[in-house]
Amino acid sequence: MIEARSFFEDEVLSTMPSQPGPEGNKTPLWDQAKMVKISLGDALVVPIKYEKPQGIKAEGEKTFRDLQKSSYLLIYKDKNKNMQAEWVSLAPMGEKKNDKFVGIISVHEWNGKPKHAFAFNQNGNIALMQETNVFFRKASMRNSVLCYKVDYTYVDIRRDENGLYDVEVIGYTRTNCITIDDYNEPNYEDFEYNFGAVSGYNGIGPYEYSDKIDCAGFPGGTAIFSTECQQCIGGKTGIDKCPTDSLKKIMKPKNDCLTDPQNTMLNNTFNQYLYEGNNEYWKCLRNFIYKKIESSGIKIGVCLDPTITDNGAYRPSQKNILLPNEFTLSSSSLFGHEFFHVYQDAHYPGGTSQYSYTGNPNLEFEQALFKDIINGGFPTSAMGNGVSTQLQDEYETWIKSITNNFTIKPLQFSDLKGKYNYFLEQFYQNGPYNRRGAINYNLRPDALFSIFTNSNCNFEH
Amino acid sequence: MKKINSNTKCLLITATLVLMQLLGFAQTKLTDLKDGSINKALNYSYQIKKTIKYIEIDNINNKFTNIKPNSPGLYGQVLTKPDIVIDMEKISKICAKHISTKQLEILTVGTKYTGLRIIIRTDIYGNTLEIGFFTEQNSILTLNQLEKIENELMTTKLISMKPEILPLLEGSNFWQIRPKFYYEDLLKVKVEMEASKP
Repeated sequence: MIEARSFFEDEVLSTMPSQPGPEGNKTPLWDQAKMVKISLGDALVVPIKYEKPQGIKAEGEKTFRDLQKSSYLLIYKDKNKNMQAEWVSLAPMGEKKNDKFVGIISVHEWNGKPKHAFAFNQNGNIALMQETNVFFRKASMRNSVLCYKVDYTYVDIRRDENGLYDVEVIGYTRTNCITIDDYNEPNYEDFEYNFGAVSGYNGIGPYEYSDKIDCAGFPGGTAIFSTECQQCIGGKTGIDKCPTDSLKKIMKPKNDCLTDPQNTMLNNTFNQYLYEGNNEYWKCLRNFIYKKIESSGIKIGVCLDPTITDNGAYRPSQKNILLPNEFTLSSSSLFGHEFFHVYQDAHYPGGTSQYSYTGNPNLEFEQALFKDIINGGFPTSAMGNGVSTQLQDEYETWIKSITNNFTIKPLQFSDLKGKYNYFLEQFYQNGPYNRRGAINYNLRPDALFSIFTNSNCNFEH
Repeated sequence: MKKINSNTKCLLITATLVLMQLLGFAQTKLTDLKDGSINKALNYSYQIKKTIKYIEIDNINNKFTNIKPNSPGLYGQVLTKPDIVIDMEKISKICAKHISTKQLEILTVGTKYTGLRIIIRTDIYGNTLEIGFFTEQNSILTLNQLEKIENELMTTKLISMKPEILPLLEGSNFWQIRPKFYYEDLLKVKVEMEASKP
């Protein structure tokens, strides 16, 4: 609370002096402040005393409600860890319905500048209104009116005369206005003071709106801010659980070749690798690869090394992934490539150091073949941009054939229909790998077979 | 009615034959075109390269037909999904639009994994620079059809690159993507297109 109050008094009041509206000067009642949990973490809710008692009402409402009981100062840290101070006002609408707040929550900066507002309807739908939606604003010593124009869409489903469904997407625009006016107007209606209600119409409704807007910024979203990993997870973030922990489990205890910002970058890249995209098949396979590395006990380091002449390398003898620069550190594709090599190191008895020369092209081709099978065969990683179209066609036809058009997975060497070594040689001759090592004809792609055999992930392209 | 004399008749027959030959040439099946030949279609001329198994067809105005793509920033790595997004559905529909159902039925009989490979050459942002074709040597498609497909593909956004990977593509002379459209898949698309016609 001390930190929040200092921030408010030192930074908010000094940089944004209050410009009184009809409510006059606002005074935070610090002795009545209370800490609450919002989706971004801890927040301080502070009641406000107004110099001139005012009422607030939403558009279409007949009665005003006591502004002092319907508003508060909210201080919290946003997802970038910056302190925020907001003047939050609640304007309920309509009849009391199932403890749901129905109405408008408007958020202003302390000096009265509108930030945004949220309209909640009876179905629990939420519309976000930003400053760009403001089309009417009037503030005087007597009253203030703020109006937002919001575009809504809804889907209308109805049957035609033949009983067939007809679906129409309808868009419409409506306005939402909030008025603050004199407390002593005759149509003022008092209501039960219930400042502490977490949600519900009883009294003033939700005393903080953040439970309606998740930490990823989605109205009605379910993402939560994890204090443990200091990240917004779940909901529509694409991140299901605290990724930092997952990475920690497979990292060397001391990975001191990255700076703190670079470590953050690595965390983000790892998140993307594990959770990015909508392809559940890829996510399932990546998760399997991760779990296998974790259970193998291998601990890796990730370092930047500008001297490597590639977009990435895995050094099995040191268990280090080397990336040449921050750009490659932030690429989940490049990380995924090297992470597969870590899996190979964990899978092959004795690790992959023994294949640093003879067998190196095998490891690279296995990685590319794995990617091509799970990608649905195109664009191919092993026979890409530079090879002849004929070779590309032969290779893609082979992949279709060994997967029976992506309905089965190769589980043993005989499933590769006798052509593995041919394409390994083509890969070696046409790729960048002919300058590295030699083919090991005794090394079969067992790491790839083990993933397909044990992962239980279903094809999805 | 005035009688046509024998000289005029001869001239008319010759002119008709020449016209038929010119029109028919572009209607010649790809399988009948000669390796190394240049053949006119509706508006463009196409160069033909043949091997025992395949035929490669490129507009003679294409600049990168014989140039190998080079992306030094990739160190030989190949970009795939999800770094590159190809609108396969859109391309399928364009191909299916210009190939008849009967042709597709013939092309799918007794064969597996045969199809039309579109060679899309783009700049690093995925903007199409030129189009080429590659298919099995025994194709019954015609140059006129390929020209129509090319024209439509050239005016359609086909490829998008993830912005994050653009630094890797810097220094590239061009980027080449060669998706194959299998005839059995195109036949399904064609049937759907026909069924959805009012």
